[in-house]
Amino acid sequence: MTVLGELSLWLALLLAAWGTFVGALGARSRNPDLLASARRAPYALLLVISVASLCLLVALLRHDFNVQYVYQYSSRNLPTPYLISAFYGGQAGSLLFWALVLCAFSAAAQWLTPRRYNHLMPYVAAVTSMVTLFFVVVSLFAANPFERLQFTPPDGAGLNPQLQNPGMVFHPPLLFFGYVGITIPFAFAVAALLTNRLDTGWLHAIRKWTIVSWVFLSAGITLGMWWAYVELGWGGYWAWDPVENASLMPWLTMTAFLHSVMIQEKRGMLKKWNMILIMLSFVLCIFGTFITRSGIVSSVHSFAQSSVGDYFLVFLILLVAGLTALVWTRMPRLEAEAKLESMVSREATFLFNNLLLVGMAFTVLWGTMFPVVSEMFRGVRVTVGPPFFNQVNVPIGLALLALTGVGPLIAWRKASPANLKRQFVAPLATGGGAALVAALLGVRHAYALLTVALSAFVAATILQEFLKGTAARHRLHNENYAVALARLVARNRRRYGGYIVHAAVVIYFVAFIGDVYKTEREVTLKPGETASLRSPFGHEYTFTHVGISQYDQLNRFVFAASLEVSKSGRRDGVMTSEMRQYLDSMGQPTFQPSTEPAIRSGLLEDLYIVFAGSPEGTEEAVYRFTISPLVWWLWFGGVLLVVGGVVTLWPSSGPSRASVRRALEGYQTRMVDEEPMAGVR
Amino acid sequence: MTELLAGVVVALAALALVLEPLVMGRPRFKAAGGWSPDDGDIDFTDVEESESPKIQALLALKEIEFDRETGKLSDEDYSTMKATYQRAALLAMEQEETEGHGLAV
Amino acid sequence: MQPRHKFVAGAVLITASVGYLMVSGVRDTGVYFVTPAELALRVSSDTSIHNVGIRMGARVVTGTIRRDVATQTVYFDVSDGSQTYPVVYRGLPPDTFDGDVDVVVEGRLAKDGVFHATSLLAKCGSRYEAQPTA
Repeated sequence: MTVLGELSLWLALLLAAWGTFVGALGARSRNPDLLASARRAPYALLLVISVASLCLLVALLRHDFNVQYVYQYSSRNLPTPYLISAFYGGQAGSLLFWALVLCAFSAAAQWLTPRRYNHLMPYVAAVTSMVTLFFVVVSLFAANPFERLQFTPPDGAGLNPQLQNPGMVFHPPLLFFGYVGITIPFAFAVAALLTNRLDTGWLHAIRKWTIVSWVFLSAGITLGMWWAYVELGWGGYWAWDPVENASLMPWLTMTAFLHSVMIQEKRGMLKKWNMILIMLSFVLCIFGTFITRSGIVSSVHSFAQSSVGDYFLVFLILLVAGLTALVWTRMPRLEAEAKLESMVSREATFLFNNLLLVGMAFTVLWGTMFPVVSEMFRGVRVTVGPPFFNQVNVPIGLALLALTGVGPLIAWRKASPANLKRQFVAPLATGGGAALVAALLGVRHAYALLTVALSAFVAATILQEFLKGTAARHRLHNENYAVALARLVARNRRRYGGYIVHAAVVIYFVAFIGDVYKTEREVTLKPGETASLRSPFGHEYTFTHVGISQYDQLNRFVFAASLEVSKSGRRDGVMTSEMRQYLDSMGQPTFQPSTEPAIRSGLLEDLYIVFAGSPEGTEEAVYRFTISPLVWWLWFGGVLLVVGGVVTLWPSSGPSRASVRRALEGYQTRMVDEEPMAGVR
Repeated sequence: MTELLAGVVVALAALALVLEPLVMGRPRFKAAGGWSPDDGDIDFTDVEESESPKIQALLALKEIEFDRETGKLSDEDYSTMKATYQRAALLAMEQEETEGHGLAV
Repeated sequence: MQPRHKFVAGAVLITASVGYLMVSGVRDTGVYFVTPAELALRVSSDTSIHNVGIRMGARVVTGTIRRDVATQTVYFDVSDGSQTYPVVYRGLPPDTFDGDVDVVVEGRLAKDGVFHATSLLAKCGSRYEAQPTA
């Protein structure tokens, strides 16, 4: 199948170049036939890239080990779901997968965008074709998935055991959807700049795409945390590794964009800032890919070094230069239409939230790149690790959390002190009360107390928003409370979906508190021996080592160590942690043994047990016991975040003609009734 | 051999898709545009509609009314803002009437 | 003050705080990253190197790994080809730790030339790439 696959890639090269070239040419000459042809390019690209992807998939499923990629990332005894995930498990395949997702998104953008944006679409096609062109070039010349070996090995090298986990089947695609999704708003931004159509039109066209990519990115990052937690065996979910930081940076700038774009829609301010944010997000996606694939910063899990990094670097430089020039020439057209009316307005809180988010993205970038920067300027490589990121980002994160609560309580344009007082009394009291209760229960850590207070404060503001909004509808429209609540959310999906996402963010922060109280202990136990560990919530856990069993399972040999667990004196079942030795189809061991922690999740705390091995020929076992409080809240927050995103995305949430008509009717009737209006006339 | 043949088919299909507008010259935009839902939203690409003072003022009025109801705007601020935006809306509507090109909302 | 000026003051405050956090963060937590050869060079010129935290990136020498399960201590040598240092690490090494794997050890170099690591990271023969089969 490699002939067809390779052929398709060359076709893609041709088509992507055609789309880019014809889009640009047609735009200059305004030739409708050329423009129509450019708009077809994303569909044609989707076709050929799908064929190429299918070829690679078939090669994997057929165990065609003569194909180098298939040999490197799969083996005969690899379970089928992981055969499919091997498609994006390695360098070359993941680049092809990226191109595939990009083509699907760009074709969907061409297909789904309402006709009134037709003037932008050829340019959008040109930009997406240009980005596709880059990925196809890399696939063909630097990391070709269809490269053949000179001989056919009997079996493949197998997939890294750490990738043989359900989390790894779903995490990379979600993250890719998020990364690639950003390309669509980016393409619209470039199209708006090129056409000089810098009204708010393009912002409305990309709104859904922005939210879609943001939700995917958030879900991808959260799933990545889950994978790290259940698979890597160190008991945590976030290590500030360059790979993780690479996904966090565009997430932060996209979050900033989601907020600041509302100011431009409502007030016509921040046009330059928004333009820069969306471009920055896209550039950071490419940059993140660059740092994880070039070996420029050492990461625990980067790809093997290859020339792919050079291609990304060149693309990055061209991209930044081109975009800077483009924005520069359009500066005069990006002037603001309105002024900030008051420091105490929602606009102002959004501006501060933006500064903090971008500042945070910058600190993450700084910390990630610091080894390189310090070597360049001071001649010594100085690295910073998790302590740096925590020290810097915890205060910024808490300030952001505070703004999450403050923003929605302040009206657009201007707020007066009396109203602020009325709005803030209940949430502030809730926050203070929660902190007091936490302190009485023995929380002494300053940041933990602050997080408790702020989380309760924000949660109270969200609740208050829902309650007051429902009450207002009840009064204004005479609806009963249930109908009022449903209509409130249905008529303002973006606002209330956004509040649900805010609630999810609060839940993430609650989970972060747990990290402060993580308790760990490492012990070696003989059968029958016990060890105990006291949890932060005051439970006394006792572990009795039962023994070690050995058996074959799928494509691996398993050593399983079992423990009898009791919680505060009461028996609480058996937990089994595994050490897996993966085997190839000849029964020979491949890769180092990997540990599979035993995890018992609860609302309050997770019990996390790693079996780290046993001395040769004995039944003794080395264990690490970890109690991680509140980790479960992360996964719950992730689910709620997606729910909020879906509410926001549910079709037709823009200000519709119908809603304006209703408002108009309201005012026409009132104009007759109301006295003061006569004076105006 | 079959692979090459399949490749040729894919190539022809892809090229036909892209080149058709150039060769046939007929279908132009509509065929390429695909599915365009008429979602009843305000057309923000149409400056006449989205930035017409009437619509802007009406959207602002809706918003400040809700903000007052949920207690975010004081009555004082509300009435000054309301007066401003109502005046703007009225002027815009009057102008539309005299010019006779009322917007079909 | 104009709202605009107040806002600029707020923005400056935020930017300055973020900048301060970054600078102090690097000052408080930054550690030198060296290869064994660079470390050897440094030791010969500057004895205070024994008092500061160091991160060393090198490759584990195959066949030197000795695990003492009872005390959960691992002994191994790391090298960059020109210089070799013995390392002592107390704790559980990561799954991917093995001979001929790139590791980053963080800790201090004792006066006797033994590197006492407080953290041990092994580069996943890479998360995505298969192990080169011997």
